[in-house]
Amino acid sequence: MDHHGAAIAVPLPAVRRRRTLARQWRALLRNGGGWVLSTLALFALLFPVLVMLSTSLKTLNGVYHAPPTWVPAPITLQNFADIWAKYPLATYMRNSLVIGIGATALNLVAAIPAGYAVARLRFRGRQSFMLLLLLIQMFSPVIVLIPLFKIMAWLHWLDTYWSLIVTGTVFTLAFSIWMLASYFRTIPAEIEEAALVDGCTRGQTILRIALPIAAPGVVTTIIYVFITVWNEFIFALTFISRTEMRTLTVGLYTFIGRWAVQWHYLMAAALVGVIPVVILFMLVERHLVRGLALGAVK
Amino acid sequence: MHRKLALAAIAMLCTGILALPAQGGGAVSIKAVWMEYDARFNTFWQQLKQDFEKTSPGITVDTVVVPWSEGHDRLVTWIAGNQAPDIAIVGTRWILEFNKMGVVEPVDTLFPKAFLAKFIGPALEARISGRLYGVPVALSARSLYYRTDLIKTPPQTWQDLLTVAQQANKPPDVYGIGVSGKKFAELTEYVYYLYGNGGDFFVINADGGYGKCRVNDAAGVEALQFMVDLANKYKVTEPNVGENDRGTLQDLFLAGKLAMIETGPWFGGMVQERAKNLQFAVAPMPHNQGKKQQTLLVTDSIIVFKSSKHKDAVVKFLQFAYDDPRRLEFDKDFGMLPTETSVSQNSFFQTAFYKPFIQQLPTAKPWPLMAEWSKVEDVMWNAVTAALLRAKAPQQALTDACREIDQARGVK
Amino acid sequence: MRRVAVAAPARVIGAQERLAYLLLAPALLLIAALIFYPVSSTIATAFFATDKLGRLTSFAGWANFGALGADPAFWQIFRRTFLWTAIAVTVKTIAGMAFALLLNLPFHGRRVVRMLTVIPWALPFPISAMIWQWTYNSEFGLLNHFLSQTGLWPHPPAWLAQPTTAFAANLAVDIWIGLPFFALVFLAGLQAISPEFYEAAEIDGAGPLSTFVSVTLPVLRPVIVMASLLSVIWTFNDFSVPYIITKGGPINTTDILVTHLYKTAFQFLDFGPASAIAVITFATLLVFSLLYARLYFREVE
Repeated sequence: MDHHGAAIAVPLPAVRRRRTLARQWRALLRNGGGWVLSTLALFALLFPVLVMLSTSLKTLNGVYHAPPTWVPAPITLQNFADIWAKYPLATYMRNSLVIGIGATALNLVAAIPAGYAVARLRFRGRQSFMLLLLLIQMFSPVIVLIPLFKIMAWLHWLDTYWSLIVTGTVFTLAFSIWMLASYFRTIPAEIEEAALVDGCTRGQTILRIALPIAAPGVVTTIIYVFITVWNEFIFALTFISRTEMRTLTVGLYTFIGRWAVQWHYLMAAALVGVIPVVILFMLVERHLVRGLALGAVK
Repeated sequence: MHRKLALAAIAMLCTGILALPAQGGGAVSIKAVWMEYDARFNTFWQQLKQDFEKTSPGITVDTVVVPWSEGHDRLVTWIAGNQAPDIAIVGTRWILEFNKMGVVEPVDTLFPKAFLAKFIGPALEARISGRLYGVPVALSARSLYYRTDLIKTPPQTWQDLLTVAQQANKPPDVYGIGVSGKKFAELTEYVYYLYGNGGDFFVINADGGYGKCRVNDAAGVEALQFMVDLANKYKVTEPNVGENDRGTLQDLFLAGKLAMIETGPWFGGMVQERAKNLQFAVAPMPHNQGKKQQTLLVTDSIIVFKSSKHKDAVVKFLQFAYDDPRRLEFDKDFGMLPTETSVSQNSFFQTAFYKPFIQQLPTAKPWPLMAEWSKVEDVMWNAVTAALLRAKAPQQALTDACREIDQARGVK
Repeated sequence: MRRVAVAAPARVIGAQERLAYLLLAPALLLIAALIFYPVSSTIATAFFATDKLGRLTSFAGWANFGALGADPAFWQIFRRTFLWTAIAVTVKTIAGMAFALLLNLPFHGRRVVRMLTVIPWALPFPISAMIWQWTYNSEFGLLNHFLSQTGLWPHPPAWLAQPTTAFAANLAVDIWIGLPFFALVFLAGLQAISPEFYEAAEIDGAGPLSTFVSVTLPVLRPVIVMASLLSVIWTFNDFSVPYIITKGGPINTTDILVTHLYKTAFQFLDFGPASAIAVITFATLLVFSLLYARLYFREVE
């Protein structure tokens, strides 16, 4: 748990006592209220995930039941064993991980300096640059697919990770530059100026001062880019044709056959595919709040 | 811990990027795009590739498997990007479109006569102006599946069908017959009723080409009216026809909710695999009283691309691929009808299950072969759904559809 | 919110600009390499007749646009896309804010709740659409089963069977997929608000609602403006949901511009008209963004 208290300026003693009592009550209310609200909200939000879980534990014969049942009879874990043993899911996952991590890294390399420049420096064409970022998003990937494919063929990047790392990066730049810029903007200029006066270079200032304070922004960016690239479907389907280079998202389509969907496998595999994303989220989540500990931001 | 993680990530990235696919040095490599029928598909073609490469040193087969639902669009992208493979499986009805792009090589001069003589007549569907543009790979005809525990004698005519459906219809437990109103990769039920009523999509011109749209004639309207009546007047279909496509109709049959469904030979294997206890049999597609029995025939073909630099290797590969035991395995695995005379004589196909399918083949009729078919199909789907949902009367829906189709095709 | 002024004397602006362009270089290079050709070729194609492979055959002027303009079905889809975007983004913004506030409450177990909230977003969109389609099914779907069993809605409609309910069902899925993004971005924004603000509001005796209105909202404004602007663009172009759940049906009633574009390009192989739709989409979003961006830049300058 994080502690907001660390950053709070010390108030007067009388106010403090009154507030301690109030805070205990509030903590109780918050816990109770938080739990009730969370349960309701999560149930609504995770309804299809419960459907997935239920279906992934059903046998093939058990899937075709009308009316459907929540609790499978019999419950089986065989689907998870099957998808792992019969299909190269591990390979698909490795490919997706390489592409996801690669694109996230490349994106940060491009977005951190750009975000910093947009937030901190005055230059001609700043608004045009921000608008350009939005323009990228306005052309649906669906329509630029064929020209992009031609570029990849020309670069001999078809069936390589590069094709997806680079497209994944470009199509997520708009958000990440904006997100990072808005965090850099909240850092008081004096802190940086002091560092510059102390003899730090601009690069050192960005890396040592600005970046740690902007940690929640960086974390949000990482999550956003990784998830977007991890889930990307249409480029992965078009640029990659070798089975051993397939990403997980495309690999899931194995279970969507021409005549029937293998629901029990599809849902099991989709659940397995969520795990890396959830692990990533757990690893970086606490940094969402770390920015506060380093200095309350105005 | 963080540094380790970061290092691991970087190491993974590096090995990943360096592991670029190696190019076969000097050997002839042919690229084959296979449209995935179901999850077993990949294994079948990988096995074929291995067996072939063992017997044919110097030739490698680069096997690309694409999900069927995405196959057409990806192939278009690859062709447009000048990256067409050497060969690909396609729905035969797509060949017209690809031929119009000028990328398909005729196969009748490419392969020896003896090779093409193996195939049964109906399988050689990919003929355009006297030339053959595809080697048949899969053949199916549509039939009526019915539950033998609910229906004693299968219906032969529409009139029987209605009676039987009414008897079997016990909503909400069992519905008489499935009708689908959701857009699907092909125009399922309507075409069965259209062909079973002596109707057709287009007037055939004197030169054999396709003329005006004719689904709005008496036969076409009667067919749609019959479907609409099944759903809305007699209420012997599942209640929400708008949400179902062929896939979910099959699911309903598997769940024991449908007494009858009209679909292809692959479904037999699915029932045995997914709903072991279901008792079912197959009968020829019912037709309107006084009209000829006729069902839909669908083929998939392997096409050879003009841009292929290794047509000799392609011919060698396909001749290897088309040996009888392997073809039988293909038909068994994916629930298809035999495309070769020799394979069709195998005892596997001499069963009560396959009999209705094979018996219908001589009279069965394929889709129209035209480059604009996907547009026609889309317009037709809208018309059928509009009638089923009572947004338009059948006559109106089909008249509107014909106007739109003729306009899109530039036919006056 | 106090404005941060980077006090840069006029004489160093030249150096600052050079540094800025250097910092922008990686991003600009990537964009130029990957975006310039596809975008210009799309715009060019919109003014040409093409063959079935999208190769330009002859100059067509505004003919592709004219044909679209004369097609009532196109205008219907155009209007529907606006409705689709307006409803989806509004709900996503409001519900996303509610989720973010909830996730920001300091209760035990909120890390787990945060983690679970991300899941809808962590699933590939086409797969989510497939799962929802199965969930909505009136015979096999657990949604209607749940609604009728619990008595919340004794006779729920077959969602995907009729135009109106199918549109609503598609919207719900788009919102479901997009919600975690908003929740996360707003949460990150909430984290950046100094507790001192809340202390001050508390001492002033402000209730939760007035604290939200007077403290949270103003600080979050740039975040809300930008996130909703991006979401407008993404939602306008949301392809997977209507294309997979209903295939644009029943009777094209859930088609939006991007699905219409995809069908025109890849199903009918009419690349000229498809590019024209892309250009119209682009122009619409550009005009909207420029109007909206004025709001945004006013905030951050």
